[in-house]
Amino acid sequence: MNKCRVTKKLSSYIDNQLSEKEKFRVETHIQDCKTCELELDRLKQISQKLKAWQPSGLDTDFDRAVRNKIVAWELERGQVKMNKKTLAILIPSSALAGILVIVFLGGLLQVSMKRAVRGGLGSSSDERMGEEQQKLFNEDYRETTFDCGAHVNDRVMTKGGAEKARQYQKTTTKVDPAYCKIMGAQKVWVGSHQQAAGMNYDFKHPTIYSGTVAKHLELAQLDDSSRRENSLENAKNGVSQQSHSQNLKLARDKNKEPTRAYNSDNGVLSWIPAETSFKNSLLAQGQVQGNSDGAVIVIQPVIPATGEGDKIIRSGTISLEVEDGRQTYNQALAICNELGGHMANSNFYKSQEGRESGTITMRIPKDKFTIALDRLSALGKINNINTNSEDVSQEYANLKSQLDAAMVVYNKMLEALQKRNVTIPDAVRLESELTPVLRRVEDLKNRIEYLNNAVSFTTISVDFQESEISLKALKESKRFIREGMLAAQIRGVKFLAAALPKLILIGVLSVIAIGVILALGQWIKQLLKRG
Amino acid sequence: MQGLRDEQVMLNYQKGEVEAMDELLRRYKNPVYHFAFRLTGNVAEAGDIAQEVFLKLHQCKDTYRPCGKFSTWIFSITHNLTVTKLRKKKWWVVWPRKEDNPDELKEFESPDPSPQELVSKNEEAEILKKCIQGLPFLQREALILREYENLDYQEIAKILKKSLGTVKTLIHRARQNLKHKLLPYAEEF
Repeated sequence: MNKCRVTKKLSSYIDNQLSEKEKFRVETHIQDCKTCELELDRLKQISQKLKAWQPSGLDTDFDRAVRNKIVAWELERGQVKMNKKTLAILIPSSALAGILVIVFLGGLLQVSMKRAVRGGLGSSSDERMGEEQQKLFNEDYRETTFDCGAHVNDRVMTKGGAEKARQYQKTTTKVDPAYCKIMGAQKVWVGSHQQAAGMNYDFKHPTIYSGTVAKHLELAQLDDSSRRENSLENAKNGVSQQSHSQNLKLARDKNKEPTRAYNSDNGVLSWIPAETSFKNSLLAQGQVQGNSDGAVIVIQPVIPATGEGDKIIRSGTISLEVEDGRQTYNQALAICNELGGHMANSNFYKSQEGRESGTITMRIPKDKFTIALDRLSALGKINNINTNSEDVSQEYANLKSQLDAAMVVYNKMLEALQKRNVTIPDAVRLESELTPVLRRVEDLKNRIEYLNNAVSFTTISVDFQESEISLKALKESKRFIREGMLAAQIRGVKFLAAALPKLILIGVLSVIAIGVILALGQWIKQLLKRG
Repeated sequence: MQGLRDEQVMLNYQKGEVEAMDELLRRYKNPVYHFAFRLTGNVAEAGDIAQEVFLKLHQCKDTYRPCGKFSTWIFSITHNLTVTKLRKKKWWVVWPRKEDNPDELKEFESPDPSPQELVSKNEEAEILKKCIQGLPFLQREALILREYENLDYQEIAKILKKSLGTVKTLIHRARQNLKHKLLPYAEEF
């Protein structure tokens, strides 16, 4: 047996870690090999010597120290558990608090959006004023179909609304810019009759004013006793019609043929040159003396009918929350027409979320005011309802008495004028004296007519809007959200499609980079192992 | 409790018997401490390591399974904790392997004591201590487990996570190195 091999096995032999076969071989070899025997003895000595090194034992505190360590560890673990419990409570609480904050902020946002939605209601005040004026104009002058305005409360009202009235005001003539407008070759006077008559006068052609208000006024003043009659026969004879609108109609008819006038000579309505007709009509009726310089201008105002009874101007405002805005609008309109009223103005608005809202202002006959309020209130949930009454009886009575007094003065002056024969220059002077009185009468008359209208027809304004959580609004909101989500999805897909090549490139580069890093790491590991 | 095997005592401790820990302390506190002391050469460090071994025992009690000998398990814990502690001290940094034989470890050696440092007979143990301390760590560990704990080569291999052949080599080399180290002190012995 090789000595080196046996030498290496001596340690295992001492430790009794050899198999029986190997143990026998070593023992056999030792008997023959002094070197290995000597080596074996040395190893046994060393092993025995090693036993001499016995360190001191642990002190008695060791056990307590171990227990203390165990207890400390347990406490630390318990604290960690406690922290976990705390977290288990804290996290849901924080989540709940976060949800509450989000809900609160969402509510604030909703309120601000509601206010923004309501900004769609209403229209410019100018247009409303113009429409109100137009409404009043139409009330008083139903027969009028062209741009012949009326003067009410010192405001010029035209068919075209406030803007047109302003346009009329801008147009000036030599006398008064507020009351004159030139339409083509004709003069159409807006304003009072007296003003129209006064301004229409042309010294060069004192008798020829065809197609104008002044003209019919001239004709209307020829027969004072029959001015209240309302017949074409009287019109032929130059007798004024009872109502202002009829007078205007007369004037309108004449405007069609500016060079013609009614022929009153033979009692037959025919068109003859105005120059001849008027003069002849005047002469035929013996109102004036024949005079080649012109005819007498006699103007007599038409006094409006003044009804009796209380003069109260009523108005109402209703604010409703409805289910369907369009339906409410139509229903309100139907109620208005059914009660004999008419719509003054309206406004309809639909928000992006589909909520509809609007305002309708209507004029209802005064005896139907309460009924109208009741029926309109039933269209939805009432948010607010207001009524207002203004008693203008005293004012009305004052105006009436003033008008009567003015008419007395006017009539006396007219009577004095009619009793004597005057020439045209005299007539002009008388006219100038009568003009202020006539102006005053016209003003009073217009005011009375306005009050009559305001009293006869009440004003009701209905403001409606769909409720926030109506089914319709909910459907609209859902549709809006659905469309929004679909649009967002489409945008997302488009974005991904556009970004896909870049994403693929980034992914490939990332994989390559990771592979390189891993390979590098492996190479470094190998180096260290070998090193 | 005293007549029970180590594994049974540990199982009892797993069940919650506090006395089992006392029994385990009684049986293994000195062997663990001595093993740690012989490895580190420092009393304080050995005491800390021993305390941590039993703390580890407690921490792992729920996962303990009597797959092998209890002594193997506890000495493995001691070995791991000692290596961790020594590495923290940076006693050695790298533990490379030889290229031709992965089981053959290239170890660093600490300097041997000189004969002039010896004073009296009572220092025989001190001499042995210093010579053992002078051995490479793995050789020292293998030798201590064999000579002082009387573990067989298989158990030592499990503790050190080495092969049987490596353990045989370690012990052989340890004894050879020790023999050479003790030669100058042969007259005293």
